[in-house]
Amino acid sequence: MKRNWCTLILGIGLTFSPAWLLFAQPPLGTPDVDDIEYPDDEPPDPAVVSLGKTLFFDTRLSKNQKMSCATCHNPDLGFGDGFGLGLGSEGNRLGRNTPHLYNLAWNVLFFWDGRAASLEDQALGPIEAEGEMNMNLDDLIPRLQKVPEYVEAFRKAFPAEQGRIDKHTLAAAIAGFERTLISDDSPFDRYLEGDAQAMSEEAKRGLALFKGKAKCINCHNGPNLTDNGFHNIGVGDGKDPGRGSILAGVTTQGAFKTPGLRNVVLTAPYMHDGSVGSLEAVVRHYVDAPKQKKNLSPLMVAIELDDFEILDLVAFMGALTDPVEIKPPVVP
Amino acid sequence: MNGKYCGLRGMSRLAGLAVLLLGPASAWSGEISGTISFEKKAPVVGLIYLPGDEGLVGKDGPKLDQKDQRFTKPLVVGARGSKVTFKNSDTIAHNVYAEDTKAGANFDIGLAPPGSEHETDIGWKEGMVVQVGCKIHPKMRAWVANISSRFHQVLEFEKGIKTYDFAFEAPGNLKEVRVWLPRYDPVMVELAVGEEKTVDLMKKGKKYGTLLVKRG
Ligand SMILES: [Cu+2]
Repeated sequence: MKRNWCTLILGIGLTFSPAWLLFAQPPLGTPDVDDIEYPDDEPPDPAVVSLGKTLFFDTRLSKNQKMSCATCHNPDLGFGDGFGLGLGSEGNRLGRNTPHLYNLAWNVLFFWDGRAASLEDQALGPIEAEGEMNMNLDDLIPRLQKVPEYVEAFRKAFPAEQGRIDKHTLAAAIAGFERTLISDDSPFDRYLEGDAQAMSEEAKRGLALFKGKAKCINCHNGPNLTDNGFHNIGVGDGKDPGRGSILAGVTTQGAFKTPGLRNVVLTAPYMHDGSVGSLEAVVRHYVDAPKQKKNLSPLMVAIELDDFEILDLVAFMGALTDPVEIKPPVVP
Repeated sequence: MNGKYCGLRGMSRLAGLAVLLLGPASAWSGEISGTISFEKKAPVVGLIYLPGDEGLVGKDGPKLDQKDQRFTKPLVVGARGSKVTFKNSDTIAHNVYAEDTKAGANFDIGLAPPGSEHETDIGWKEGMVVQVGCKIHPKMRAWVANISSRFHQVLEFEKGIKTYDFAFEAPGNLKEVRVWLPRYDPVMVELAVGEEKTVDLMKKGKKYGTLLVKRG
C-alpha cells in the first residue's frame, strides 16, 4: 500500500498544506484522467460503457422511436447535429444549439444553463423532455425489458443492482459511455509534449494571442479550454435568461456555459443559439462590441485583432482537433 | 509501517504557535492520531475535530481567498459569532454563495470584483460544514465549517494518494472524535485514553475507506 505522511500538525486549529498551494491561472494542458470525478470514484466497468453505447444509438429511447441520443449528438458531426437550433423528435425546433459531448468527463454542470449537476442527471433530461425525445421513463423501462439482449446486458453491467433496468442504471450506462468520449491527442497536445513541429506557425502565434491580447484564456482555460463557468457574452436578443433561470443572482442573467474548445472546428455552428456559423465569426463577435449589452460579463472588454491575427487564432483552434471515432453498435 | 513524517520544519513552527495560542502544551497532554485510507480516490478535503471545546467562539473568523480561479483553501473553520471573510485576490470578478437549507446557510455576496472583501456571519447550524461556490465558476468550491473547537485538523488530500496519517494534541476530557468528509456519512467515535478504534468510511451506503483513530 502506498503511504503518505504529509498531514501532521502539532498546532491546534492550524492547517499544514503541502499541495494545495496556489496554482497559476488554470493552465492550458492535456486533460488528465486522474482528474475525472467518477460518481463511484473509479471508471465504470467496460460492460457498462458498452451497454451505454448501445443505448446511446437506440431509437427506442424516444416515444415515436425515430430519435436516439446519436441523432442529435452525431459522432460524425462533432457530437452535434450541424443545426443552429436543435431538433425534437416531432420535427420541432428547440430553443438552443445542441452541445457537443467531447471531454464531458471533466465537466462540472451540464446543459447550456447548467441545470444538471451530473452526466447521469443530464442523460435522462432529453429523453423525458416533451419537446425532445418525449419518452416517459415508466414506458421506456418495460420497452427495454422486453429486449432479451438488454436484460442480459444490464445483468452483466450492473451485478450489484441485480441487473435492474431502472432510471439509475439507464443513466449510469449512458453517462458511463459519454465519459469515454475523450479527445486528448490533438496537435496542441503533441506540441505540449515537446513536438515543436506538431503545430503550424499560425497556430503557435494563435496560441500566444489566445493567452495574450485576445484574452480568450480568461474563460477558455484549463485542459479542456473551459472554465466550466457561465458568462453573459452578449449573444442573441437577450431574452433567454440562460443560467439566470436556474440560479438567481446578478452574475447569472443571460449567462451560458463556456463550451470546451477541443474539436471545436467539428462542432459548428457556435454559441448557445447556434447563431454564429464560423470560428472567424466567433472571434469577430469578441472584437466587435456585442450589440446586446444588458448584464454583460465584466470580462467582455474591448480587444483589437487584425485579420491575420484572427486567422492565427482560428488556426490554433484547429490544432485542438483530435476526432473521437465511434463505430455505431449493433442495436438489438 | 515504513513511512516518515514530512514537513518537520512546519511542525515545529506550528507547535510554537500552538503554545502561544493555548498556553503550555502540557495543558492537553493527550494526542489524537491515526490513519485515514481510501479504497479508490481520496476526496479533496476532510475535517477531524473534537466537539465540546468552545475555544474558537468570539475569536477572529477565517479568511477564504480567491485566486487563479480557485479558492485558495479547500476548507476553513470558524465558530458561531464570528464572520468568514471572502476575499478576491484574482484578476477577474467572482462570487461566493451558499445554498444549504439543511444547515441554514443561504447567502450570495453578489459580484465580487478583484480586490474586494466581503464578510458573512457564521450563523448556520453548529457542527455543519457548508459548501460555498462561485456562481460564475461552479468548479470553484470550498467548505466553511461552523466549529467552536480549537481541537481540529483540516486534512488536505492529494491527488493519487490514498492513505494519510494525522496527529494533534488534545485534552483528555474530550472523548468524542468526529470526522467530516464531503458527501460521506459523518463519523463519530468515542475514545478513552489509550483506546484505538477502526471505523468504515461510508458514502451512499457503500464503504469507501477506513479510519483508524487512537488516543495516546
Ligand atoms: Cu468565480
